[in-house]
Order: sequence, then C-alpha cells, then structure tokens
Amino acid sequence: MIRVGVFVCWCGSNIAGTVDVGKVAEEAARIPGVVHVEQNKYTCSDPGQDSIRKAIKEHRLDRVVVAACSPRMHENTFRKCAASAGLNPYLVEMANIREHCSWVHSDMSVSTPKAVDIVRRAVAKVKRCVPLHPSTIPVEKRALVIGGGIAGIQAALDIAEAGYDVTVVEREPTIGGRMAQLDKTFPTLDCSSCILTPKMVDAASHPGIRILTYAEVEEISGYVGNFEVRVRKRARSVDEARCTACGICILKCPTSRDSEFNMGLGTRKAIYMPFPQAVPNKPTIDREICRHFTAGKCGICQKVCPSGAVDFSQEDQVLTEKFGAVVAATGATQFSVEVYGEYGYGRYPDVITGLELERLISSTGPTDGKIRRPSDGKIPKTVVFIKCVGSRDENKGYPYCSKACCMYTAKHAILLKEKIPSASAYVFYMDVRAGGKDYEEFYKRSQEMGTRYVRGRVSRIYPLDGKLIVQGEDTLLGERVEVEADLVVLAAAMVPQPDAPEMARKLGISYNQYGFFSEAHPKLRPVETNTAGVFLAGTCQGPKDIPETVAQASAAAAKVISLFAKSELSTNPNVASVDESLCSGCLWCSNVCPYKAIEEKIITERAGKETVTRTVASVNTGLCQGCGACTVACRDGAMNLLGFTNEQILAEVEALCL
Amino acid sequence: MNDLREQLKEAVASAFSQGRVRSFVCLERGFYPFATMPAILHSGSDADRVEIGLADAPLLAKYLLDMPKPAGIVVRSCDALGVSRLIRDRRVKREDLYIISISCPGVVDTAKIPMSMHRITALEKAGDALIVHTALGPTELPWSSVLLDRCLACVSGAASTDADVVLDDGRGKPPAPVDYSEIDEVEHMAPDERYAMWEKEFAKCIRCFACRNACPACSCRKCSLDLPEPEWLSRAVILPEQFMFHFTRAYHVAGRCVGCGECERACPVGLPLMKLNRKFTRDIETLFGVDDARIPRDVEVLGTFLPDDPEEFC
Ligand SMILES: Cc1cc2nc3c(=O)[nH]c(=O)nc-3n(C[C@H](O)[C@H](O)[C@H](O)COP(=O)(O)OP(=O)(O)OC[C@H]3O[C@@H](n4cnc5c(N)ncnc54)[C@H](O)[C@@H]3O)c2cc1C
Ligand code: SF4
Ligand code: SF4
Ligand code: SF4
Ligand code: SF4
Repeated sequence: MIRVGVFVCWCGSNIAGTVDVGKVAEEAARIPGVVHVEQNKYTCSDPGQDSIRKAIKEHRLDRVVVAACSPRMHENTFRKCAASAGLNPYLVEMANIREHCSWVHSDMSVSTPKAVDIVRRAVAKVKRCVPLHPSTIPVEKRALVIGGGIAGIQAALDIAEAGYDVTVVEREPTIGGRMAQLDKTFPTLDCSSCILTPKMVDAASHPGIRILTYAEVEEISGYVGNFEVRVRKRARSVDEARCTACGICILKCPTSRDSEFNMGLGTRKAIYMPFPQAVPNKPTIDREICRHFTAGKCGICQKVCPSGAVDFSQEDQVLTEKFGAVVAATGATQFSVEVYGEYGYGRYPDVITGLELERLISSTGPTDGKIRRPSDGKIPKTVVFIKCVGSRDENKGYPYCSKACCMYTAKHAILLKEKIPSASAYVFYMDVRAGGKDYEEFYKRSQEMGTRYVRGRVSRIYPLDGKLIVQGEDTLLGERVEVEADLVVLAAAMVPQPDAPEMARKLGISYNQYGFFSEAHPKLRPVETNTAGVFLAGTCQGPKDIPETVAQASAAAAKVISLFAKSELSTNPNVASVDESLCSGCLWCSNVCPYKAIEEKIITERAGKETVTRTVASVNTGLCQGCGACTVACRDGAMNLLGFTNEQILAEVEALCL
Repeated sequence: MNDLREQLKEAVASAFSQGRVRSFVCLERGFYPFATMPAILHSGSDADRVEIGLADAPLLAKYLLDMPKPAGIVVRSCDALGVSRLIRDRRVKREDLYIISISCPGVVDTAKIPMSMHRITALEKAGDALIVHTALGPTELPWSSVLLDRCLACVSGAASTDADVVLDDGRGKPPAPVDYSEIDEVEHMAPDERYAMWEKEFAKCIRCFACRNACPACSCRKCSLDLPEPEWLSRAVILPEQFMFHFTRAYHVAGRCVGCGECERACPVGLPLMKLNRKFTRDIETLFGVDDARIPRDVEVLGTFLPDDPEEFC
C-alpha cells in the first residue's frame, strides 16, 4: 500500500499570500493514496523538517510530497530530511506552488486551483517513484588547471596547499597571463609584477604543482573523479634541464619579430622569453621565424649556448594522464577595435588600446616606463581615453559591460598625471561604473587630479599637423567637443578567447552567446559547471578584475578540495537506463548524447530454436549526466531516465490534463 | 523490359546457386495479372516467378526484417532508400544482404487508371504512354498521369550502384524534385481551418496500423504504441487519441521518412499521411540546409548531437 504524505508550505506570505493553502491541503487529502496532509509556515525550517520526520514515523509514510518552492531551491533539503527519517530520498517529490504559482499570479481564485493541480501532479508522480541508490566511484586526487593566468595560479596554489597534486597547462611559454602585462593595478596602485611574480615563483617551486608551459589540452574524456586528459607539450627546442637561463642565445639571435607581450610595441627574438620574470625562466624557439627551421641556416644559439641546451631536434611530447577535477582558467582576450573605423586604430599609430598603454607605462616595457607615443616617441601632453570600445554596443561590439575598463581608465589617467604632471587627460564615457570596495574613491581621485570626464561618444578621429583631432559630443552639456590629442587610448572590450567554444567542447561544458563559459547557476553555483568535476575561474567565465578573479579561483579550488576530501564519490542515480527487451539497437540515443555516455553492447539471446546476437544500447552511469536527451530520441520507449521515467511523466501529464 | 526480367531471373537463380542467399524477396504476379505483389523465395528453382513489376509494386525493404539471412532483395532506387534506412537504423546489416538493383521507368498506380480493374486484361508501356488493354480494345494514357506519387518525385530511375549486381537497361526515369505545392496549401490555411481539416481526417482512422506496418522507417522491435505500460496510446478510438497516434507516427518518422508513400497507399480509409511526412521533410531541408531529406545519411539531421549546434537557450 502506498502511503503519501503531503506537506503544504506557506513560505510565510510568499505562498499563503496568493494561494489558499488551507484549501490546497483540503483537496490534497482527497487524492487517492494520500494518507496525511499538513501545513507549515516554513517547511524548510527546523520545526518544519521535524514535522516531516515525525509524520513519516507516525503515519508510516512511504512517499512524501512537499508543496513549496522550486526543486532547485530545496529538493535536496527535503531529500536529506526524509533520509534522516529512514525513507529513501528519491521517494520525495516537490510540488512547486511558489515560482510556478503564487509568484506569477495575483488572483487567489486562479492560483488556488492551479496549486491543487500541481500537487495532484506531484502525488501522481511520487506514487510511481521507486527507491534509487547512488553508486560510488573512486576519485583520482589530482587536479588539472587549464590556463596559467592569475586565476590558474591562485587555484593551483590553493589546491596544492591542501595537499593535492596539481598540473597547470599553459599554452604560452610562461605563466602569468594578462596580469603580467599590467603596470600597476587599481584600486591600490601596487605594481602588478610585484604582486604577481612572487605567486608565479611560489607556484613553480611548490612541490605539489607541476607547470607545463607551451602546452595545450588536446582531449578530455571520462567523468568527475576520473578524467583522462591528453596534453601536447610543444617542443621548446631548449632542454629545460640543461639551460641556465644565461640569455646569451637571445642576445646573439639575429631574427626578430613583434613582441606579443609588448602588444607589438617592441620586438623579440626568435629564441625568446616573453618577459624577464617569465616562469619557467627558460627561452623558447619560435619555429615559425627561426632561421634554422625556415631556411636550414643559422644555428647561432646552439653554437653560443655554453650548456648545450639548444636542441633543434626536440619533438612535441604527448602525455595522457588521469585527473579527478579540472579548473578552466583560460582567461579572455581583447576586442578587435579596428571595427570602429572612426577611431582609426591601425591607421593612426597614436591610437592605441589600454593594454598597449600598460606596456608603455611599464618599466619593463619597450619605452622603459616613459610614456612616449608610438609615432614619433614624443611625450604626449594631451591624452584622450575612450571607454566602452566594443562593450555595451550591440551594433558593433557586445551588449555586455567589460567591468574592468572604467577602473583601469581611471588608473591610466592617474598614472599619466603621475608620470607627466603637466599632461591633461580627457575621458569619453557612457557611465562610470565604480561598484567595488574603494573603487568610487579611486575614481574620484582621478577626477581630483584633473581628469576631465566627458559624457558622450566620440564620432571621429583624424590626424592634423601631428595631432589627433578627436570630435565628439558632450551629452550632458549638449554641445560638440573637439580635443587636440597627442595620444588616444581605447578601452577595448574583454572578449572570450577565440577558441573558447572548442575548449568548452573538450570540457563538455556550455558557453553563453558570446563564448564565455557558463556556470551551473549564476547565483548559487557560480564556479561549478553543468559537468560535474569541471570548475571555472577568472575571465573565461565573464569579464572581471583581479580581486574578483582571485576570489573565484579560490572558490573553484575550494570546490576541488572538497571533492578530493572524499575517498569515493556517490553518483547521481538519476541516470538513463535501457530496457534491453525493448531496445532495437538503433543507437540514436548514443548519437544524441552530449556526454558520449552510451555505447553499443552485444547481447546473446534465444529466439525460437536459434541463438542470436543483437545490439542494444548500454549507458555508462559514470558519464551520464541525466540530461534526458536520449530518452526523447528513443522511439521504442526503451530508454528511461530513472526518477523521470516515461511512466512517471505520463502519470503527471494525465494528472494535469485529464 | 523482358531482357531486364530475364537478367534478373538469372541473377536471382545464381544468388541461390552460389550460396549467397538463404532467401530472396522480389515481386511476382499478383491477383490481377497486370499487377504484382511481393514474394519471398527460398530456392533458386523459384526464380521463374520473379517479375519486374510494371504496376502497383510495393516497397520490398521491410520484408528483410524477418527473412532468414543472408537475404537477397531486388531494389529500385526507392527500395534502396528503404534498405538504406533499415541499415542506418541498424535493423539489418549490409553484410547480411545480397542486393540486386534494377533501373526503373516508374511504377503504374492502377488506382489512377480511370477504369474498373476488372475490365483490364493487360498493361503495356509504349514510349511515353501506358496502353491499357481491355476486351473492348486498347486505350492510351500519358505515362506520367498514371504513376505512383513517389515515382513523380523519383530520386533517380537508374539502378543504384551500392548493390552486388547492377542491372540497368538505360530506361530509368529521370529524377524529379518533390512537389511541395500541397504543403504550401496547408501552410496557408488559417489555423482553425487547418485544425478542422486534420480533425476530419484523423477521425476517419480506424487504427489498423497498416501505415506503420508498411513503413520502412517504422521498424522498432516492439512499437511503443503497443506497450500496455506506460500506455502512450489509449485503446479508445477517440479524437484526442487519434491526434496522439498521428503525431507520434509522424514525429517518429520525422527525419527518417524516405518518402516512399507506402503508409498512405496502405491506408484503407485514405488518410493524407504524406502531407505530414512532406511537411517534415521540407522543414528539415529548409531549416537545416539539407539537400534531399528523404535520403538517409550518416549524420542524421534530427538524431545527432553536434557540439557546434547553436546553444540558443542558454
Ligand atoms: C588594459 C587592462 C588593464 C587592467 N588593469 C587591471 C587592474 O588595474 N586591476 C585589476 O584588478 N584588473 C585589471 N585588469 C583585469 C585583469 O587583467 C584580469 O582580471 C585578469 O588578468 C584575469 O585573469 P585570468 O587568469 O582570468 O585570465 P588571463 O590573465 O587572461 O590568463 C589566462 C591564461 O590562460 C592561458 N590560456 C588561454 N587559453 C588556453 C588554452 N586553451 N590552454 C592553455 N592555456 C590557455 C593564457 O595564455 C593565459 O596565460 C585589466 C585588464 C586590462 C585589459
Ligand atoms: S534509441 Fe532506444 S531503441 Fe535505439 S538504441 Fe537507444 S535505447 Fe535502443
Ligand atoms: S541522460 Fe541519456 S543523453 Fe543524457 S547524458 Fe545520460 S545517457 Fe546521455
Ligand atoms: S512514413 Fe510513409 S512515406 Fe515515409 S518512409 Fe514511412 S511509409 Fe514511406
Ligand atoms: S493505415 Fe490509415 S486507418 Fe490504418 S492506422 Fe494508418 S492512418 Fe489509420
């Protein structure tokens, strides 16, 4: 005999204000199979949960329906509560009479019968629920961090400090990311490398951290606790063990090209270190331009190296290893500002981006920290900053806000005044967004130092007599403005890495319409993804500044650590399951499964007098994420999602519609 | 034509004598001397019964399901699509089949001959005409006016090349595109009008399942609509259940229908099932940029998760 208990929640006035809870309880009592109904002010509270536990015992309930909020909110709470009273947690069903009912209606005469229907649906389903049991899988307690920017470095340090091994895979020859390119950082103006370099060194010297630079993740298979990852470590052409980083090779190399690290404002050699504090502190040969590789000549570096470390024959190394968790920290890149033809970037050398300015201010940059404009090396007297270049612009760029630009533009204006006190700075802006600890104060400081903020867009920039004429509109004063500038700095939008969708595919996670990786829940699960065991840190998830990036990295690390703290993982029992007697073996399910969780299996059976073999689908419950795609692809009705079986769903439909 | 038949008979006989097949599905003379019906042969000595099939030839593919393997089959291009469907649905294996493909000038639909069947004594193709012989003498009808609907949208009358034996007399019907004007008409109806039309049509259905049984895309081991639990389809022949049945049938073949029209031909009460099937085919062609959605392909349009499918919902 099935004995269902229904617990109708008031949620204070959240539900009771719009739904006649008493009436719902009354109607629920009439549904066949329901033996006990109760109302609670707050069912999720301690007394509320107690009353469920008590009722399970007193009324010998074997199914529970909680008519309250969304299962996303409290399903887990009530499952745990039922389990503590000895009931299988999967015999609990939520009837969402809040988000689906009281919150979207104002008329009680409409919402009350609807709430009754929702409860009826839940009862119909719960009657067909069967106990489900999670199985366990072992956990490989090693973490993989993809991307060695500040996010990746922080996450690796935190995980390693907890005692677990971490491998960082970085595709550039050094870790450090964007932050390494910055001069000083808002809002405190401490020097970026002074706070970053020690962390890079800590990571490199930590016994629990292994850093693979010039390396990329090629493939990820498996599932939480048991990922199998293939990494390609590209040939540096320098034996890292032998090299002493004396740098003579770099000095003597005759070939050079624009330096990526200096945003093309300086050059680097074919054998190079992106910047002096690079970690690892070993040079790399860029085979695209090295004359040994392009023309079969030269080889000077090899001749001059005192330790015989240059190795032209080095080959890519492919490593396949197991990891229990993955942190994606692949960062973001810059919007292509050329799209704004009116600003003339690319045509006028003195129109630059914020990152280029960082390099011009930095003492390790191409101008040794003197702000000189690229065209003639002169010290600029008037600098115009333009914000939101590619941000908050649905026509030419992206509709979102890049978050860091307001503050780094204020920073740039302050640094400009510090370096060139006589210089004047104009900032063209749409709004100033300075939400953050000490941010508003920082912005004020830039104003107090004399920066002129002009609210409005720039319509045109053109060169005249060695100057750049910036024409725009001050929308506050409603008048046209024209500034004769020596240098124009564009605050380019932060945009996803071009290969973000490809990386998301490898990781089996989703990304938003722009290409930023999607978190599992924007508020409650901000560093998790929809794939268990894959976590997010930093700007790969959306634009952010360093404080936020670091906080998120530590949060991702905490998730990894709590995962590794368990010796075994229990798997979600809401997985797909095949009825082999019905399965035709078409494998459509397998083709639609986003997690590659379905394989073909050959079974042998008797058909009349003959023994025949046939193909059926077989679900790997470790890989299955319970998305249900296979169940709808299966025409035969052979595929069921446990906890959401065809039978249960039909019963719900019938309860609602008939 | 007779040449082709002689060659075919020979090919079938030698398939048996070489031990390539244990059974063979082909056409033989039907109830009316001028029409054909399917036959399953079990020995080479039956090869004499083989007919090419000028009129009313049904699709043979689905018979393969229950035949002892290796099984032989003679295919026109429409049959070949059906066979390919079954292979891709993994209901038969190519290596278990022995395929003889023939070219086809089109198949006469005797329902389109404006004359009582009993009066017809013989049919004959002469150039672009069908000559209908009766006791009162011959009548000539334009060839294209008497063809099966599927032949009017033939993918190609030439013998399919993915076969073990290819018999082509060079007289195959040239390919022709599907005529979607009927779909346009339905699409242009007002919703109420359209609903009323389907209501009227579905109300006629007697749930004999002949449509399903004839369909090469409906090949599940056990049709989910036959399951007692969960009861997807109630046994009650009431209008909502008729809708449920027809939606289910149409959706289950969507993306896999080969456009053979066997469902519509099998229906004893004349439901216009091809209107549903063609609507899907055309939608798939326009929405997914597929050339001819009737042709089974390795990457099933509606049955494959592609990592670069646009994620419009997140
Ligand atoms: C001009 C400018 C000025 C700024 N100034 C400030 C400031 O003053 N204060 C502040 O708080 N913030 C500032 N920011 C923001 C700050 O730069 C970022 O918040 C921070 O760098 C983000 O770090 P991250 O680790 O997420 O990404 P990144 O620093 O971009 O690091 C990502 C790393 O991942 C690597 N990677 C990418 N793809 C792969 C792959 N497929 N495989 C392996 N490795 C990969 C990259 O090479 C890179 O090393 C500024 C930003 C800009 C553009
Ligand atoms: S889709 Fe259904 S019938 Fe086909 S293989 Fe998968 S479970 Fe079996
Ligand atoms: S529910 Fe089905 S489609 Fe979804 S992950 Fe599991 S096996 Fe794959
Ligand atoms: S649905 Fe009809 S037209 Fe389509 S394959 Fe099946 S029988 Fe042929
Ligand atoms: S063949 Fe016709 S009557 Fe029979 S089930 Fe199909 S549509 Fe209905």
